[in-house]
Amino acid sequence: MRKHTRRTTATRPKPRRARAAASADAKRPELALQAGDKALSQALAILGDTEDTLPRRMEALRVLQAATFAENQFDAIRADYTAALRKLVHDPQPQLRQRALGLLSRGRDDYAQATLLEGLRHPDRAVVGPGDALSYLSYNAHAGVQSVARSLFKESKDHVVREQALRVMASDPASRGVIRAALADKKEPVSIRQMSAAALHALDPQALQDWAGKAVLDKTEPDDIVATGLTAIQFGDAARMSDDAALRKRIGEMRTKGSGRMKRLAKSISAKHKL
Amino acid sequence: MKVEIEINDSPQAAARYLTWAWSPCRIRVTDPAGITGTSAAVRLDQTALSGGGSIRFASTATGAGAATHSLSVPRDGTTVSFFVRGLTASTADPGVQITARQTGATASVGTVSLMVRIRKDATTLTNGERDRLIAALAQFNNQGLGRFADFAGTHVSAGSLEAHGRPGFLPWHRAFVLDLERELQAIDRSVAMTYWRFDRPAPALFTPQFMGRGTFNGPGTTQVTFAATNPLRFWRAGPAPGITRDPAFNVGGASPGPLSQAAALALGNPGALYRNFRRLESPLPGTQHDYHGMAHVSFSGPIDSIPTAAQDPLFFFLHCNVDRLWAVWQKQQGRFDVAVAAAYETAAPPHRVGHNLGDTMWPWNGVTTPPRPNFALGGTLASSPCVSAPGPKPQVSDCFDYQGAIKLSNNMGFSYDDVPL
Repeated sequence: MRKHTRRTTATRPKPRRARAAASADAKRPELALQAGDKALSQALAILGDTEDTLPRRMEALRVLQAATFAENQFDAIRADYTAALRKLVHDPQPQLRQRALGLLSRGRDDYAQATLLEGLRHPDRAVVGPGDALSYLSYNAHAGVQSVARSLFKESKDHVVREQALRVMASDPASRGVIRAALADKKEPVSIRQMSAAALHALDPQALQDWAGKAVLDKTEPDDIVATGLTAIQFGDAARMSDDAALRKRIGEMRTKGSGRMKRLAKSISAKHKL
Repeated sequence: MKVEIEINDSPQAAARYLTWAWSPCRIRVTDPAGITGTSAAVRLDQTALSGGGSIRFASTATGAGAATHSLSVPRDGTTVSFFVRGLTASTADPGVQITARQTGATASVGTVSLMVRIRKDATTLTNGERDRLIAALAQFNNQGLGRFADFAGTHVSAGSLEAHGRPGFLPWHRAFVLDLERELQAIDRSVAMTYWRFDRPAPALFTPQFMGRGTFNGPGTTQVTFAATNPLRFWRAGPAPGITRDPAFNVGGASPGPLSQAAALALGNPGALYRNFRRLESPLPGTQHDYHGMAHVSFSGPIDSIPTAAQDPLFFFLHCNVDRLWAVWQKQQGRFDVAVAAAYETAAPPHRVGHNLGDTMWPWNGVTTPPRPNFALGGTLASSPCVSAPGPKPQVSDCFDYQGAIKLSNNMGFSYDDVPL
């Protein structure tokens, strides 16, 4: 059984690794597939062979997934492909586990969902970290997933896990209060507040507009939060905008004062709302 | 004397947009004061405005056209036809002003401003073009509450057989991209769909200011990074907000590595047949020579799977490029006319419904009885104030002569920057 692998920005690929990987990408591994119908079966065999190299198995997965876009040609191996992806969920290679879980989740695969939920409830059974698991589960966020997401948002110290939890909570009316509180809390990291803004819009667009107006008027808010508020207002209700004299005045000021991006945003809003 | 000039034979300002195709126009006298005789000799010329671009005039929809045009306009208000087309693209609206003057005079007797609106490579857009496009996308999506949901909800597993794996793949996606483009133009007339040339590096596309930046070789779970001022940061087209799109290639300097354009165009050989060319849709087993499918799976995220691909707005830039490549091939091989057998793939017995030239296409036809899917989102294909084709319920055959090269009325109202008429 695998333990949760804590995913933070610190675990992202380093630039040097990224460059090396980019170079490797330029030389995609040769799979030497036969021409014709057997090619996809061959690719399936490479994908499932844990003794083969990771680059060749990843390439086999790419070839197979690309072939799914040709519906009728792929039908002959579709069931085998799904079975292979489900097997990869427990593969020793984390990259293959992640890729398989992503592909299965986008197809709302029951087995992947059950495995991911099991891992969130029992971390000793998890095949990926909780942030990744929540992301994959967000493609079909039902009540069971949402309650787990609420718990993780409150308990986790990992920003990535909390951001992903917010994404899941965005389709959960019971989470509205938690999201509003996170958005208003200046002690929360900017990224959490920005994701809260996106989540709140999905649940209660009017509440987001209320917050956005206050955020733009609040001179103690950081630039990124004010910009998020302005971006929200940009797509808000024009009538409401024309009724708020203080907000109109503030946006008018921002057209000439502040950073370049703020000026651009303020000008854009002014043009849209004819201020 | 005063004249009125109509572009695309319409008095609407919304119709004042040109492509490389000839647009029918007309001019008539609205105030005959000062005209001696039964008609006035009028010269039309052009002035580049802030949006730039240039046009050509002609009395018939043929030939290269000229920078100016002279015609005789009856005093009694009878309209006189002429044609204009774009020669170079505008970057903003308005781009070109047409001015009418009586021959030999300097005073204007009528003007009209227009834009040469062309689909361009996403990496060549000005900041203004980029910002208007993403603003229109964001507004149409309305942060998950707008009509973009119809597009995301159409390109799903249940509708897949209407659009994939068969000859209708290219016509169906041409209509799909056009439908969205027209919806965006209803928000901002100056916007044209853009294309992602995925056989070339496109670093200017994958920036926080444009389509966002994912994590190289990431697990397909991290959100694309957008600038705080990018309205796409509130994108939502699936159950959860945000866009997940981790590239398997270095977006800063590499392409995903599918076929080069030249190799993809050669797929039509031997015989320059559509049957061969449409193999660009999916991998050729054993060769890994894939153009379209491999571009989709060069990312980990919704765009890599049919059920979720259209949730990512990059889907439309990707498919605009697939459509552009078809347009390039059509131009090279003369394959605009469905009467030419090699322009499409007919079969006996017929293909699955939806893939034969005379079939209407789902979802625009609204048919929800088997074998069509049991839903059809979004209604008919959006109309255009500039052209009438391909109509609200297009047939497969309506999506070939997109610039009206065979018949002017076939013009679908779009052109690509690198595909002439």
